[in-house]
Amino acid sequence: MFYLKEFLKVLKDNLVLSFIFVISFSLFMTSSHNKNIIEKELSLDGKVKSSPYFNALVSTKTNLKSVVRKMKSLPGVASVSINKQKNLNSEIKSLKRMFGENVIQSLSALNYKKVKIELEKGTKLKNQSLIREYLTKLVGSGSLTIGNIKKPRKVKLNKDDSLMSLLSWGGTYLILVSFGLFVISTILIIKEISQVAFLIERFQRKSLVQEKIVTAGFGFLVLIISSVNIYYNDSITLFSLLSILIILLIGVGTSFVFSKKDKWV
Amino acid sequence: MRSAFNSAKTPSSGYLKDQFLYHLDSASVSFGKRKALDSISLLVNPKEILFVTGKSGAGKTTLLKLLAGDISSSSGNITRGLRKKAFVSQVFQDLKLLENKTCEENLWVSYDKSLYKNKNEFYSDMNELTKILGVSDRLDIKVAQANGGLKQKIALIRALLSKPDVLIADEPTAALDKESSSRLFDVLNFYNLKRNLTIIWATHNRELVKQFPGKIIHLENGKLIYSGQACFI
Repeated sequence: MFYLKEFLKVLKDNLVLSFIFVISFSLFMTSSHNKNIIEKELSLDGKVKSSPYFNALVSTKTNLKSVVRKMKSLPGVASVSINKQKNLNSEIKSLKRMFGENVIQSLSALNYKKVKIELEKGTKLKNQSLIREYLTKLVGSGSLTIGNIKKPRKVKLNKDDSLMSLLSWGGTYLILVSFGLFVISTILIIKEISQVAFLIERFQRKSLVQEKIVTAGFGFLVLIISSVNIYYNDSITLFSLLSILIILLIGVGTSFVFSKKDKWV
Repeated sequence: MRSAFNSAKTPSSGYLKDQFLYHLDSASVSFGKRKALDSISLLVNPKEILFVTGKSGAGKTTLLKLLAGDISSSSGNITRGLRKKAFVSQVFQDLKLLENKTCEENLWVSYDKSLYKNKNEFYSDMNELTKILGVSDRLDIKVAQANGGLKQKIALIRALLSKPDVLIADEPTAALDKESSSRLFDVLNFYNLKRNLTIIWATHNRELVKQFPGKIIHLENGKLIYSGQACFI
């Protein structure tokens, strides 16, 4: 506890450096732990959708769960999503262009939810109108306003595109950048720890103080960040174990480099 | 380079085993081609006051570093006696205070739970020493803003608060006036008598040294020129 307190004191005394250190430390560990998720999120591959969709404003008085369930089971419907209830006055303004001026007055007085119905690629026009008709029948024309069917702009991306390859390596870049920052800030933090450790060793009957402070501090951060990552991911990857090992090696290695006799800089 | 302290070897006069603190037998220290210490033989006993005098560059700081174990000898033997490992505290020439902390915060560095029952006991000792040395009203000053005299006194108090067996001080009165220096010597004398503190003190002020009991060694160009009682020089 004594050594952890000393580590936290050093962090408190060097706020800017500590901020960079803790952020890069957390980022390095978290990005290593979630490398695959980050790369999946950053990658555009498989996310560019060109399937048609239409929006509908449905009264909140309607049993939306039932509507969504029934719509999802319909052939030709890819997905149905509900936008959370927002301040409709601002929402309606933004939808003005989509539905026209004449419906705005009546909509303003009511509470509506925006439902997005995405259709499968290649759904025929006839089927598209059948789906819209089914929705009108389900909800009732008085409680529903349907927008036009839209087709999103097609983005053609090949796996060989530079943007695609850049994004597909996004997780790795994040790890490298955070690692670089982590190494630099670790060197600077351990320099600060060295001074404190030097004084404690000289004026208290304690030995290997620097090593103990570094172990306690780094161990504490690793424990906290790993716990958070495991709590959200339910698992620990080989890559994240490797990152923990690297962190501890760098901590001990840097500590070793700042030998005791050169502690006071 | 040889080990700074070789516990396995004892000085030639075997009866001294476990009674001396340091025994230097023709110890030399070289930095490159320059010999900072040239074949120094010396015996330091517990509860002794040893003054190390000499001009700048005579080798005083090197000798103190050698005794503190900060550097190793190039040749010769250095033996640490006494079975019980003596705790050494230092007043460094460059003081080594935390500049961005207050004087009081610097003193708390010496708070060792294994030595003090509680913080109150430490605080009481700190209060006593700061009052004797006349700095009790300036403890909240940041070291960066403190004058040289205050810094030296804080460095000395910090060393004494660690309750050492041996105090190694490198020119701790350099920034002090005559009166302050005398008071500081008085405090150390008191600690030497009351707490059996061994004091190894480097200074260039030979006049002040004459007034106090203890041994003196005088260095010139890394060589031991004189060794005897301080009052006889």
